[in-house]
Amino acid sequence: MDARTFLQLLVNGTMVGGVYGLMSLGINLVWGVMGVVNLAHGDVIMAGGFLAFWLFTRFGVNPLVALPIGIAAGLCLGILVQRFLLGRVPPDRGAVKTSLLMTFGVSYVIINGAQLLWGNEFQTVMFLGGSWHVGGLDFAKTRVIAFAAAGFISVSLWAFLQYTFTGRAVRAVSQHPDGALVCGIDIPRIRVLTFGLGSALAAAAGVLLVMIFAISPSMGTGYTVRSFAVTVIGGLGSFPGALAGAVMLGLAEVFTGYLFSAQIANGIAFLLFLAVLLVRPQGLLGMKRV
Amino acid sequence: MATRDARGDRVAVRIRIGWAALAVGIAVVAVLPFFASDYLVGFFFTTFLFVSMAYGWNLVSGFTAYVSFGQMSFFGIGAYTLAILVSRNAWPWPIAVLAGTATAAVLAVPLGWAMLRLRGPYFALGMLGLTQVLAMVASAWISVTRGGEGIYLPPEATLRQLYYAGAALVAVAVVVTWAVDRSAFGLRLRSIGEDELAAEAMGVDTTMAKLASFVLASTFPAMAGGLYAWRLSYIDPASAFPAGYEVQTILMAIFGGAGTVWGPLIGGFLFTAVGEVLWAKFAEVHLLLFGVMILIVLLFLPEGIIPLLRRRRMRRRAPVGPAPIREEAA
Repeated sequence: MDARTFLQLLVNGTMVGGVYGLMSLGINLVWGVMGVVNLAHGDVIMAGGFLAFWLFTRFGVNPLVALPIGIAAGLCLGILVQRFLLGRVPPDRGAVKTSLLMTFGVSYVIINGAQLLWGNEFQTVMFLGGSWHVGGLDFAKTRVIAFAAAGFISVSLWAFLQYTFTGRAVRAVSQHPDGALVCGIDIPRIRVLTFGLGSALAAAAGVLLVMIFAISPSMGTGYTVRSFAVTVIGGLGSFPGALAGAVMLGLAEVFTGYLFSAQIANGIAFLLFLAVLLVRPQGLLGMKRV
Repeated sequence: MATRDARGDRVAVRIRIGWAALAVGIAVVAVLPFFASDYLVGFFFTTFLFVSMAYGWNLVSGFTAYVSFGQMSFFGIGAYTLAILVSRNAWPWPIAVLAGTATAAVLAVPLGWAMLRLRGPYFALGMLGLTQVLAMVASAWISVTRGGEGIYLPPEATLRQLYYAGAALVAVAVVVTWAVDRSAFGLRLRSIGEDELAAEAMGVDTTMAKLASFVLASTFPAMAGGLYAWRLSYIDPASAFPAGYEVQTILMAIFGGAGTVWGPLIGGFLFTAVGEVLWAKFAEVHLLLFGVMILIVLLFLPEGIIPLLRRRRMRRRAPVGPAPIREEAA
């Protein structure tokens, strides 16, 4: 591998990593606030991608215009799931188990729904070809746009959590539910909002992802594992960690894909996830959980 | 005191009815292949596979609180071991099935050691990822598994042989679960499910107990996978690691009652009987229906059928005195 190839892979991996970062933020947020992982997260990503695909092929809608539509759809879906399913789980010791099983059920509903609506084939959105050449390297236009959009959404989320009253309430619930309750925060409402936000972020990531890769209804689980792996690598509740983890995963996939095969690249997320959990359970940049 | 005796009699009658139903069930299963159509025998064979896998899931996820979404990993290991041994080394079928089961159990030791250090969502995601990675290994390791091309097997088995093998597997699953349920080992597993930290503080070697249940639970899907490959006479990554089977297995176990001895059996049979009618009509949406049914069971029947019946009976039996303590949902 010469230096140019190396740098090119570095660029490609970082671009993909940006979208992975956005992908993982949803799972990170929901996990932090509710202590539950949404096993349907990857399927929402996939559904967001297919929504963009459908809007593009059917109505010629630019994926960047589809982005807010996808976000709105994901938000609604998340709110409904939390309001009518997860929110009804009695908060006892079995709650985590029941919630996991529920999101597992939701996952199959979305997979099968997507198969019925959009078929079982791999699809992608080819709305912009070519690339920009900077310093002898190729920057594929779609990747740059996806990276920038992912960055913009991530920064907006960060600002929302940091500076708005509701965002602070979300963080408060994540840090100390009892304390938040004492301060008068309506925890069920925050949970509905958080789960909605999580799905919205997943759908947004899906819209961006379908510009870069081809997707099919059955690949959602792979993205759930990837999002979770990024969260584990970076550490729960850490924004810089999530970004570092995402870029690390993007790079690892691109490099193993180049050096070995695409199939091994698909499994690298799981191996990283397992390695980090066994060696440093709190994540590379995360704080230790009680 | 009189009422108590009457109550005791009623319980005795009920137990006798239970044994009688079991005896009739075994007799029907034993003679069925002699007069039923191939379709019906095949249907029962498939049901046996699912019921035994539901028992496997029940052992690890019903007793302890570790929800496994990756039991199909062992199904695939069993299926592939059988296919490789039969196609390359021409092993006889029954021995290859047992070898597949043993392989899965041996592999379950290091896998369980790594996975069971994870808890809650970590464990769930770990197991979910494991099946995916194994399916990938199966398609990438072409020299052994022939990758996506798959392995064709000589169709030697008769349906009747498979049927009895499946029935035996279910019988073993029931007996093992029954024995575990009554043993100190079962109690240890339940204590882990209730509160792992407290169990550990009480002196339970939680790591050993969890690992033992994990390994034990891996053998049932592995054997089911071997029988399945035998029936199909063909195996490829998609059929060895079928995602839809995972959800169906879990659904049967929680429908019947997770952590009970008879739940997977009753849940499994009721479910497939209803399913056989439904899936034939709505083949395209069967995954969606599974998903919706999981949600419905969790919302309205979170403990499954068996605990529901048991509680009903308790209520009828105790008209006076303090109300029975409501079991906490586990």
